[in-house]
Amino acid sequence: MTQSKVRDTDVIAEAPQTEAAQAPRKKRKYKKGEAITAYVCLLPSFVLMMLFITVPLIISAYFSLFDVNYYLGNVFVWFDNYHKILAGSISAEFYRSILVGVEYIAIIVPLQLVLSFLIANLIVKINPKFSAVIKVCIYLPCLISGIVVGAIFSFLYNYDGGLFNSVLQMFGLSKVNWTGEPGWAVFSVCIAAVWNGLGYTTLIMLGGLHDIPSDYYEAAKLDGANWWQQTVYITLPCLKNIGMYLLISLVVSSFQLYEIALVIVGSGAMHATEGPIYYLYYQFNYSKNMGEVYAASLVVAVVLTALSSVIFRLTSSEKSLD
Amino acid sequence: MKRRIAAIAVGTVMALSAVALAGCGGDDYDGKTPVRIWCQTFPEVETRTWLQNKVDEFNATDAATEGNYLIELTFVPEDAWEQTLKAAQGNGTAPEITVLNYAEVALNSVEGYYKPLDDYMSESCFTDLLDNVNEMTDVNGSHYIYPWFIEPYSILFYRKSAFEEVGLDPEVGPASWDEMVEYARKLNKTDRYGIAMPNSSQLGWVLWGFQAQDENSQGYYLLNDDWSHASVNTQFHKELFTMFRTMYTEKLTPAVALSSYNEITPLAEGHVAMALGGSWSIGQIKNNYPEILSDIGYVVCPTIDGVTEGKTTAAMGGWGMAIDGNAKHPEECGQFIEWLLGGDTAHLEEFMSDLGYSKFAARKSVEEALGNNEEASADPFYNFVSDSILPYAKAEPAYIWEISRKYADALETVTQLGKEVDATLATLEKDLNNLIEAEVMQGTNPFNK
Repeated sequence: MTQSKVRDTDVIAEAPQTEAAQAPRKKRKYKKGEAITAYVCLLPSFVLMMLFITVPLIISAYFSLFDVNYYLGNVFVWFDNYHKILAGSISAEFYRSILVGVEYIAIIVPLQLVLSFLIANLIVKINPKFSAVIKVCIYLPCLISGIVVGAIFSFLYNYDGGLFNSVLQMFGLSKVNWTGEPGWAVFSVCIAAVWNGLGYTTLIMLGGLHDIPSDYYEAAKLDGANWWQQTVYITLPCLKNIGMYLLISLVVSSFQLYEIALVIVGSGAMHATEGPIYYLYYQFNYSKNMGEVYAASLVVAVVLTALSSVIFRLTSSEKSLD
Repeated sequence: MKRRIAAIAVGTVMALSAVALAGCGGDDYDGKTPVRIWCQTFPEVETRTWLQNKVDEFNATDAATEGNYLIELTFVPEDAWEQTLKAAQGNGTAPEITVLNYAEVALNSVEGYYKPLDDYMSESCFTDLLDNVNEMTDVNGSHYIYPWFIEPYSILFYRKSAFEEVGLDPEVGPASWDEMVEYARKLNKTDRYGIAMPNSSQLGWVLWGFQAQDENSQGYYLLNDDWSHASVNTQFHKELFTMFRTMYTEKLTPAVALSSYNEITPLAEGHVAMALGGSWSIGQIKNNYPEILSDIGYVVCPTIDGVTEGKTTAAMGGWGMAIDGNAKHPEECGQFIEWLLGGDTAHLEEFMSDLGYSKFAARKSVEEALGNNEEASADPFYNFVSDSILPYAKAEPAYIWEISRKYADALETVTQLGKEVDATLATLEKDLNNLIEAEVMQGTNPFNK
């Protein structure tokens, strides 16, 4: 098996995509009736999007320029709220929350992508009846809300009598403060989040694996490619777009991780698990000026958009065209 | 094609109508005007039962009937309180009466959150307030909260049997912080911790009980009287931090609190031998664990030097009722609050009795009535708090929560991360002074007369 042969296989695997990408795009003309149907079909989504995304965004942008007081009235303060968040009295907490969000991304995204890829590969290879059972088992946690996941893991992480510490003690090891010690607390929250989301990413990954034509693998086998080479030169390139979707959605959801951290750690562990959404929640509850909360939520939205853009740019994905 | 479009359009309209109508609903008030009151779900079910019964009783009175209104009571879960109330304030549906703790009222009243109760209640209601209660509710000559009850904290509770087990006198508790640590060491066992300390999320306010003890403070807890300067890098705070650190490093207290500070469960169930709590703790024991009542001992919270007689050892917590700044029926609200809390002393006597004399009167007339009440006079805990704690208890600080939060965070860096006490306090003092400057706090203390 030479490297050049594998490269050939790689070219074959990518060929259909490249051809499709290079094919001239024909602009299809729709009939008038078809266009109307399309618009009517889009209407509910459009209305909901306007109601729950666009309008709140405009309102938030407007109120972020005010010192909002529900009783004495609002005072226009230009960009004071943004200044307070980015360089003023509450900036340290804000930046800390952004860093926590980045920490979540750094732990959850690779862990969940690798695990779901391995499990999906396992499911593809085993008996279909048994794989159905595994799929159901692995998907079940996705149906549980973050609050309940947090409650379940709170029992497991309990310092006195929790399952994890009981197991450690069985082996003569000392107990770990899973939720109180900052380093462990972040890890504990991430594990719970990965457990909660693994089923979803695995099933998407599984769908992608099923879409890869078996011919590619057969050809590679004839050329003597081993499992690793098949994975690197066939599976991963063919999963590129699905991987991109999962990467973006995981980055966004990890950055926004909130309920699980709230239930498991709360405001303990030296605020080590308080991500950006937790920060917004705290400010909403305790800030006297709601304008700061509007401003902070917009800044968080900008950070998320910037993160997604960077990922698209770094991976040069065709999806960025969408 | 046209049929399909029509079907889709009709489906869309129906779906949107369903969404729009889902939020609509009607309540049956028999043509009466509802006046809404919100209250947190206190851990003690007796509090909720008493309040609900009283609201029902009031709604049947002539005042409510002739005024053609009724009080509508809603209990909001404690952990959803802040966001539920804030959201309601934002969309203009805040309750007209809110049950609040004293600490948050003074600054919020300056921001217009509440109406001055003096405009809607009889003057006699306010002249009847105990002097120290009047001081903490009077903001520039107006009262924005009418007290329901007082709950001092911290008080040290312990299991007498545990004391006997290790050879300690069950009738004498620790008096100083050093003694408290020493007792905790003796009481610590494999299956039982020496003492329960407050958890992280509540540390900010629980520490007020300790901070109130600082006789050398420059005036107002961590800040001076006009809130222009913070001073925490002192011997008092160094020893307080050191005491907390010893409790954690020697594992005399659970690394993670076994329950909320509001609950005395770990002590009642024998997981700890001593626990810091508030006066409410004894009510929970009387109502939920009556079988261990005789095994429960209590002393005033230990102090830095062990001198506790005639000294401030606790902060004066508690709850009262306020009228929302945008209330549409303030007269009716005032009428209800006066009837419930400012009028007949029998209402509050009944409440104190239901709660096992773990809550304390804010009015002179109620205190007098309880003094004449055989059950109350015979209650040792009631007498203990009335004589040894309440006269010296200090009102909770009114400054912004961030001050207390930063103090609690600093303490946690010492207990959880093992940071050095001196350096931590020096940094904390600097941080607090920066915060005072950034928030322009100087001269904003509403109690600095």
